[in-house]
Amino acid sequence: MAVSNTEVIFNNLYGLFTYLAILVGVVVFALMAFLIIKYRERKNSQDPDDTPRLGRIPMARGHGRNVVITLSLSTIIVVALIVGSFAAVDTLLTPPNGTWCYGLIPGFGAQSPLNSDCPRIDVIGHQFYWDFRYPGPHAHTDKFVFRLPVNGTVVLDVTSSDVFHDFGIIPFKIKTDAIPGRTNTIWFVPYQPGNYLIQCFELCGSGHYYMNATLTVMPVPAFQQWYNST
Amino acid sequence: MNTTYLYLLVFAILVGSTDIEVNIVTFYPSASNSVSLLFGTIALSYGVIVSILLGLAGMKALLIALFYQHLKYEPRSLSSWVLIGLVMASLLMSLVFIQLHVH
Amino acid sequence: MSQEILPARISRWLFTTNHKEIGILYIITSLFFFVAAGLLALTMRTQLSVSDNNLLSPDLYNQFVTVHGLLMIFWVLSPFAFGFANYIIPLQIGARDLAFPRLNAMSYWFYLVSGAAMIMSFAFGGAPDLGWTLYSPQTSFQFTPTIGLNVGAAGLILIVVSITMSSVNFLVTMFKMRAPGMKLKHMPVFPWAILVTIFMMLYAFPSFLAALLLLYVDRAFGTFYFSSIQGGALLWDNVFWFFGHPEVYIVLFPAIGIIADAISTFTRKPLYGSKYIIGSMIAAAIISFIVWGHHMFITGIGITSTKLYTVTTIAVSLPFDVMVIAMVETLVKARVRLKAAALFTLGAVGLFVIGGITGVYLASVALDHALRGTYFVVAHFHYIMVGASIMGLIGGLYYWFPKMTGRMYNEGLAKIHFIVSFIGFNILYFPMFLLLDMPRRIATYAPNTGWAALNLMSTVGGFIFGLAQILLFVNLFASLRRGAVSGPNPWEAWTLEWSLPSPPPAHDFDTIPTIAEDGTYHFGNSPGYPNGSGYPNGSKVGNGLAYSHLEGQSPWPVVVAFAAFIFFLGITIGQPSNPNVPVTFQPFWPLVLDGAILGIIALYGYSRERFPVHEETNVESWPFRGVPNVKLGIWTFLGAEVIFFGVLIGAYFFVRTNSATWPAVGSLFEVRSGFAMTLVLLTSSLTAIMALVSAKTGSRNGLMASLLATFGLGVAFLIIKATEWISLGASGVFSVANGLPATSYFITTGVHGVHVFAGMLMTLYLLVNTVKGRYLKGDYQAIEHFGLYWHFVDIVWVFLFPLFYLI
Repeated sequence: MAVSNTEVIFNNLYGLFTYLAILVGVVVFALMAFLIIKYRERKNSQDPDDTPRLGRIPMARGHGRNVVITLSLSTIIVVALIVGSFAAVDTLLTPPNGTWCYGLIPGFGAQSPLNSDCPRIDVIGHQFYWDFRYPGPHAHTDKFVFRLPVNGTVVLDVTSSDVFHDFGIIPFKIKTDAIPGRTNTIWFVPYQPGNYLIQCFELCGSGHYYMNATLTVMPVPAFQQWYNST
Repeated sequence: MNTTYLYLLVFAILVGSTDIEVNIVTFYPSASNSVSLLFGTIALSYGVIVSILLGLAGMKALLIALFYQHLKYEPRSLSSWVLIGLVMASLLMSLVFIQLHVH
Repeated sequence: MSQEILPARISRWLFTTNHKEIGILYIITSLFFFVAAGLLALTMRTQLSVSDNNLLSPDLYNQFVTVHGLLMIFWVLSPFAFGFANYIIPLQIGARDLAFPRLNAMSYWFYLVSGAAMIMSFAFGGAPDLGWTLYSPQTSFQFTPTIGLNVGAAGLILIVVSITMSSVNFLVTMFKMRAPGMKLKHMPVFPWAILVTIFMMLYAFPSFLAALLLLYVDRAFGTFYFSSIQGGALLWDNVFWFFGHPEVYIVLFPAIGIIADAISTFTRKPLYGSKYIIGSMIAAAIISFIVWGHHMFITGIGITSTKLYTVTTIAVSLPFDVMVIAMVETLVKARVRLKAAALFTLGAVGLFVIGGITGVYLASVALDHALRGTYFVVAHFHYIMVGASIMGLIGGLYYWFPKMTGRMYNEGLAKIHFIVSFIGFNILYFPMFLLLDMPRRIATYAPNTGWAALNLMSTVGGFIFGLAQILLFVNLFASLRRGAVSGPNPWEAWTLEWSLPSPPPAHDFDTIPTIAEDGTYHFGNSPGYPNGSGYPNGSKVGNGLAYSHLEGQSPWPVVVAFAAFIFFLGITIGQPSNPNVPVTFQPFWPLVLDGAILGIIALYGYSRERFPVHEETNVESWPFRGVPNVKLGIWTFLGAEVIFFGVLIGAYFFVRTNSATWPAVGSLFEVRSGFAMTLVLLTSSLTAIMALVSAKTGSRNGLMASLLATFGLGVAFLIIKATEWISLGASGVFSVANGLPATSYFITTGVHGVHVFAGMLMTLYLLVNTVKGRYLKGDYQAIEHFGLYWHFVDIVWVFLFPLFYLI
């Protein structure tokens, strides 16, 4: 089962791309291999009639029709990819209102009374760690371990306090740049409790390789208990 | 027309346009009292003045290019280097403008 | 023609301007950098082969990954390709050299010294270590207080200068020096690929130069272009990638040209749809300038922009589809000879398909949210840059080795080289696609990530691939002495270089060939390809002169390059006295002054040197008929300057848009002084054009007066500017609070001021010559050329004045 909604979106789109990629790749490689083998030089074969020879510019060869066919087929394929990408990015970049609130855990897609004033979590990159700032009433900042409730819609506002970082939750297949002076927003819904690796994805200095954190997704009661105790 | 006269004429237009540019800034709408309005109440919007200024600059550039750099009398292809550069620079600025202002 | 006795001393190579020798210098030097950067890569791969490794410290790892990228992209891929371009293009178009041979030599020496600067950066507190993409604000002095980055930036600036000189040279050569009948449409694909590449170079590199300049000024003077939190990071992102994306096509296209032509030769068929291949290259080159935002997909630029860039980026894959299908269709009814060059170029097509398909993944803004900054990206671009570009260039090396040396390499060893390289390549890079979770540029990783197995496999592949290249070097070195004699056309190819002996004599063609209407070649009276002398149809084609190789020697290119090297080194190696003080500009004056003085002497010597360049009169020159070569070169250069200033002005717009407040008109700068400067410069344009009028009418006094007036007005401009700068500086404008308005002004008008200063030096040179009586007897071109430059400088000011003083 998927670990987050963003992973589902990614897998579906990646699957579409890979399906088409394998199709195109296999066709092209098979064609190349077939042609090279079929038309390889043999002892008794002759050079074709239109072999370019030193002494003249070669004859033009080829039909514009083939170009049109190639372009048309390619366009059909890429349009599918573009449409799929647009649909996916619309979802990825449109955070729903609200996030978890103390005492109120909205489900993804549910018609629950989301309070649009529900505060969001700030993620701030530093050289070389992440700050996770929780909203009130138990506002506090965590480093290294990022706790969230399962099945809750989480909206993160990501920025940096110093240099250009990139905040990525690896298994969730979601990341965004952390740029000083800008705030970028991502959102997701974790589906499964567990520990997930967060790393920095933009070279930010000598400590870039250990700028990690762990996302711990907890069952809702455990999360509420933890949050209330902070 | 004698080329020298042509060059002098172009020069006169260039200087005259510069004079207009400098004076037009007095038409900026401004609450500060350091800018005096020429006719008492006329003020042009910021956007209009910027357009006029850039338009005048473009005209001056065109005159210098066509007559001093002789592009009017050269093969068209020679202008292409600069024109392509201008197109590229415009693409850069337009796309960045979209980045900054269109969400 | 007799064989000239060629001096084998070092000075022959130091002073050569012959395109073939410069081509060889480029190829050998780029292979040296290839080995150096490859060793860096192997060290990195070893470090990454197991988790929690500490073979390389993180600092060193970051430096290695950065320098590996910079060396490969700038000092290996393009120079390797241009080594071939230098050697082969004049031969393929029927010319005897490039348009500006000394400029060509200078390009090479600038390339060499720039590489020295980049490698030397390790010694100055550490080489650049933030990736070849050098993102802000980590590159600011605050976060990178060492000066290795400055020295590296000096190396980059020097290579941009080298490339710009090459672009101008090749553009003029390819438009103005083609043999009679060699219309653009008759050129093989390799020259077309180079032509498209240099167009991209001309218009992309000035953006990089502007970015490097602004970065250096930020670091040295404490300005805030890229370090400001009001968008500084995105300014670098935009300006860098506007250059960066065309750049990656620049390093790819020459190889595609080689691949296309080699496929035709080794399949014994004309290329399928060659005009469509060429059209696709042109389309891809144009589109490459509007896709750069795909490197910024998750920077928060807004959904409209990201969708726009997704569309343009995916669209750019379409011309490449056409190219690949055309190359594959060439195989139909062919007779495929699987020599080494064919193996490498066909293999390159296969790897290019994989690289290109995975590029389409990255073009999707949605997938990029997961794949950005991961090894998927690393795999993608290595499939293109190594799989398509390097393999294609190695194919070119095997293809043209017989022509350049007169010897055949060992075919069996070359085939083994291919097989081992191809297998090693895929073991090295394919696992990286599967490492799509792993961040790039990390020095090591934890054991529990599970990445170790694939990393180890990749490292093994890396060693296989790297060690396989030993076979290449052994093969070529040994074959230099002991290879079989190749003869002029061992591959039975059709392009013009194969009509010459292997290796060609110093002067290339005895007689420039003519291409008749029916496409046949004619060399004087002799049938077939022999390089005969004599004139077809009794008319003179070329002058048939073979000039001694020694005539083409000049010491100035290498001296100018050396002077530039020590000048820029002096500017960048000054140690800051206090790392916490923003203004750290501390040039090492002895080197700066030595470099400047030597440079001026060398440039003067260069201009004064009598260097015979044989300009053929009977050439194809569409679309620049009647335009002399130097004038064409100057206009080409001005096209690049448009981008350079365009980016500087664009940066000004960018920072101004992102600033909450900006000083009102007249509060920071006196409109009066700007007005005065504008009038002064406009008048100097008038005097400059009057100088041309005087020169054309032969009036010495008029010319002297006009040049003196131009000089005086230029000096006046600089004096007014200096007083303005001093008064602004004294009033504490250079402070954090006033930051960007003042700094954007200082930098943009400062760069313009340097251009004015250069114009002043040119005016002085012209004055000295006028005293000696030059320019008055129909040789007024220098005055005209100076005017073209000077009026351009005036045009730039015409825009700067309202932009900085009036709005």
